[in-house]
Amino acid sequence: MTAFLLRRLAAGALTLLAIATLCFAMTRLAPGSPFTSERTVHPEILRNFERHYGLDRPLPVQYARALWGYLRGDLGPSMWYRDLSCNDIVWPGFRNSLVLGLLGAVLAFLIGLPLGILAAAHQNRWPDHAAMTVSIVGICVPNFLLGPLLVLLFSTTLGWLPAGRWPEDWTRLSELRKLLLPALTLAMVHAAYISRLGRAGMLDVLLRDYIRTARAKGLPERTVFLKHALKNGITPVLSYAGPMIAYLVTGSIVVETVFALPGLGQHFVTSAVNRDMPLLMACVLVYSTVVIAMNLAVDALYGILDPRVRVS
Amino acid sequence: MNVSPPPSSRSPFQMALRRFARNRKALAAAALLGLLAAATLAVPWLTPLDYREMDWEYMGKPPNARYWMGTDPQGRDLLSRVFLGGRVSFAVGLLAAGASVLLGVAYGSVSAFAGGKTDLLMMRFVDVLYGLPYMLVVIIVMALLRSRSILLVFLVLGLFGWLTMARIVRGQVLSLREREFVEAARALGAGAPAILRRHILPNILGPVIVYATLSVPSFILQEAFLSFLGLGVSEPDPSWGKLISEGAAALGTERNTWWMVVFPGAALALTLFCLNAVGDGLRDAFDIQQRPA
Amino acid sequence: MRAERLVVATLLLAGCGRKLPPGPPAPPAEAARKLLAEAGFPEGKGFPRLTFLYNTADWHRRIAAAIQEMWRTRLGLRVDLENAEWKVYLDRVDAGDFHIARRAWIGEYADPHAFLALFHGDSGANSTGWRSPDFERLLDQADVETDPTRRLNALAAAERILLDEAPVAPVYHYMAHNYLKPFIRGVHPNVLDIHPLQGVTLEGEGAPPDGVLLFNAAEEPNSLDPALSHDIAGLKVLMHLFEGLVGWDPRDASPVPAAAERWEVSPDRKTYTFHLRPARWSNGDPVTAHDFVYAWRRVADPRTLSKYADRMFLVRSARAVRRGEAPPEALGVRAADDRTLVVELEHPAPYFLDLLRLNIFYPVHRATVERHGRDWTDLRNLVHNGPYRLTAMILNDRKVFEANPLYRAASEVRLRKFAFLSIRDDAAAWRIYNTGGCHWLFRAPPDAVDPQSPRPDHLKCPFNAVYYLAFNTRIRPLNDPRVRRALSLAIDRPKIARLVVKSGELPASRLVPPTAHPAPLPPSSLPE
Repeated sequence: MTAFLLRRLAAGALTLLAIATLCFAMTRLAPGSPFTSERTVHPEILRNFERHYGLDRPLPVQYARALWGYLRGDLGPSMWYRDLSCNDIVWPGFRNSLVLGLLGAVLAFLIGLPLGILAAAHQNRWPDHAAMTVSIVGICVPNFLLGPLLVLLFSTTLGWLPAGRWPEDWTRLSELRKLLLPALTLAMVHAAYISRLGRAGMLDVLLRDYIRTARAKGLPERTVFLKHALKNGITPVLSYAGPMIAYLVTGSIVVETVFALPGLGQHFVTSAVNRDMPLLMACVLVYSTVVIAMNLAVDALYGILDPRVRVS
Repeated sequence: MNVSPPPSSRSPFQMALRRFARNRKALAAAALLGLLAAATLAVPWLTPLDYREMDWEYMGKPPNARYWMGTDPQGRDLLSRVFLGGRVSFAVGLLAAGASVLLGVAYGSVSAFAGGKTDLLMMRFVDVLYGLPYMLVVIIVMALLRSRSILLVFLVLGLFGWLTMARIVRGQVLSLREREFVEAARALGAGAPAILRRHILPNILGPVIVYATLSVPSFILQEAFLSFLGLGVSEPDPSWGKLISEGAAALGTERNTWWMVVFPGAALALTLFCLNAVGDGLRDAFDIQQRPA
Repeated sequence: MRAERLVVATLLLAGCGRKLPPGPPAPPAEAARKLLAEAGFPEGKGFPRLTFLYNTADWHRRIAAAIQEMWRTRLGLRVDLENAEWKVYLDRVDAGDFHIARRAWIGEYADPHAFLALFHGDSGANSTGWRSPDFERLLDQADVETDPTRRLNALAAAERILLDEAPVAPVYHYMAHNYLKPFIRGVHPNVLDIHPLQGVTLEGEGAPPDGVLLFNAAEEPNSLDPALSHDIAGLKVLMHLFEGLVGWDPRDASPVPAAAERWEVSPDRKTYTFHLRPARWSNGDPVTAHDFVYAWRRVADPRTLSKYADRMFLVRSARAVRRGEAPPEALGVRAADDRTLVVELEHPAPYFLDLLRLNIFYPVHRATVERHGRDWTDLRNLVHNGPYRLTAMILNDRKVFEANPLYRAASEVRLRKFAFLSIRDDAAAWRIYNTGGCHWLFRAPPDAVDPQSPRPDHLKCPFNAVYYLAFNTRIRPLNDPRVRRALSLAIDRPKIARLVVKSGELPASRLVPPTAHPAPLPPSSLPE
């Protein structure tokens, strides 16, 4: 088991290295520099700037220095925010995206699972159709439309929730609820997929032999459903959960823009726009680390549950 | 669930198609989809209004006898723009899905068939690409290539779309590779390409088609997302994503411009809904025979 | 590029819109068409397909689309639109990699020089590639002219040359818009749209119980270091944390004494002597003239990497110091004593006092900078002399300012606490403003406001800025001034100002906006 995990860990580290290299190459290739502005800057100043950030060294040297910094946990200075280091920028943003993303994940499950189970329990009758219709909304309405719609309803018209901005102290529940609308916007599409996967998974399991046996034994339908079918029925949902959580916690530029939230997502865009290369690299690395870590976690989970996977 | 005995003379593919044809909901969705696609081609051609022409006297106004879907804030007819935008969405969806199929099938089957170190390396590469934040790459690529052509949009979407397809195909080919009929073909002296072509590819067609169909909505949404960021099609061409994000930005202002949200939004939602229904129907049609005994 | 054009054409343009609807009759574009024909392109035939570059934003997209449409219907020209995000756009404009580009310029002072200096050969912001010795001669002449009327006339004559040769086509002059909740008092619209907040009060219905004003500053400054901050977002923050020699009158943004109590100007108008008021830094140290000298030398020093040090080039030897040809001590500023600052200029300039309000001229506490290096602007280290201090700074979220008890005029500061929010998206800011999460916006999304029904919370006034198109005069056919003038004449400016921008913007027949008090233009030397 340990060997398996170690192998996966090594693979993950190598992947991360490859990503860092690829990103490094891309950032050096993109036109425009952080120094571009409406007034042309004197070449001497540009040279000073490059010297200060080590951009005048040969590329392999820059690359090595950057990598060495990452290994020590130093993500480098930001070239755009002159007073801040990438650590100062990335970690608070990531923390906010994490909070919002987890909230969204919880909502996705809270909405999606019951819908899916309900639909499967009453297959082809009206609760099934109703639940699937609700889930269709999640798939067919893009989040940059859903967000403003939710604000229009719950904020502008009803005045129950704020239209945006990060709450002053999210650790208090009364403040955390202010994130309900953005979390819902994030969650809807995933709730839709979860409900569909859950429904399909449950329906699949309900055909299996051991369920028929349980029914034949005379167990009430509810017990059959909840105690025996549910465990296995929702495995497709669990395998969806891994990538979903990775995606949610690394920030959504749309939700952050629509609700004015200081997350990680907007740093992706602004660092690319500003050609702030260290910040760009830092964002990519955080994103990739989260994705790889979640994949690792899912693999580990499967490895525990299904020994056959370890051998492959 | 249909469990009719398969006639021995028909291929599994044809059987699946028949099953699909019996699924009324999926069939209706497919018909509606065809109708929508035809409309995007026909309507802009039929309408006497030009999608670029600005009517300075009727800017941002609701539907009337002349402008059936109203006008956008620059006085352009929304009806022509909605259907023209549909062309973009359909084109993007089809082309990106097509690209992902071609690339994904080729890559995945080669990787699975090669096996060993090559397979490992190829899948590692896929992992690396998976780990990249897609939107960031889009921005950089757009900036690098300095062009805002719609083909570039297809290209970039296809760049990421084939990853999951490759994984799926690889998985399927891996399981098929060990099956008896492949062993038999090999025993008979058939080379790898022939085996790929005649035995493997027809059998993976099902999942490939299903996944391709189900990926079209996500490509369409990705294009919408790019339009939201300002990276989609360039002026004056419309796309659903562009129209919807313009309409969404106007929500909550005092100007009630519901037509800017409702019409493109409904068009997009309807298309996505039909695509999902067709995809589900296809999955039901193909899946039955793929399920292990 | 060609193949893709074909695909796009087939996809999108095939069979699209055959008949033109009977819209309103367009005003005659005879003069423009005549010019175009004279230049060799009758009815637009043979005219190469040019590209109009703009930076990605809704406003610019609409204006570009409207102008594209005007050139198509009135001149028969097909121009492609291309948008690029900000950095790429600036890069390309800088490098001359464009045909026609959308540009704007905000004048830092209400003087024609702020706009015309852009097109002087030495300026780093002239992307058109156009130069005119006559133009430059007139600008240089205006610089040394002591009589204000003759000076303005020289500048107007220079502007005439610019408009005749048309390397740029002004489109409209901006309006400054502010949307304020009714309980905010003490905010006066002014042409620079700069609002010092010390005199603002919150009273009346709806005033927040915690007394904190929430202003959406939208953009994040790139630095809190007065030498490094290079944009208006930074200026708005720094003008509340620091105090320079000269400040803004809250009623009309005109220069008023701030850190300097009074000053004298030498007869040749090249030497200014400032007498400082007694004041303290936030750590108790006295503010002295040496702090100003240190700060200014630091800005000019090329090692500081100050991007906008060129605004200091009026000061003697600043250019040389910047290029590394002279040490920072050679800069034309010195402290005669602790409370007297003497500044020598390269040439007289009536707008020098206006420039002093920019953050590069603020004093800086030497000991703090030397001790902490790059970290000196951390909240726990920052030493400043302005009316407010920063008590919280959360990137992309908010900055909280509270009154600085050690400020020299602390008792006159009426607004005790306020916050700058960083809501970038205009639509989101609008929603948050309308639901009470924000009290003051300086921008609204397009179409948010109906010009037919003005809102009581909408304050607007002319803004010292111009929106124009730059032509790349290095490429054919834009090297021909007749072509450029034709393109400029074909733009229906009143229409754009009224219908596309829709918030009271003024169509521009000249580059310098009326807020900069230009003299009337002399008559054109060209046949009309």
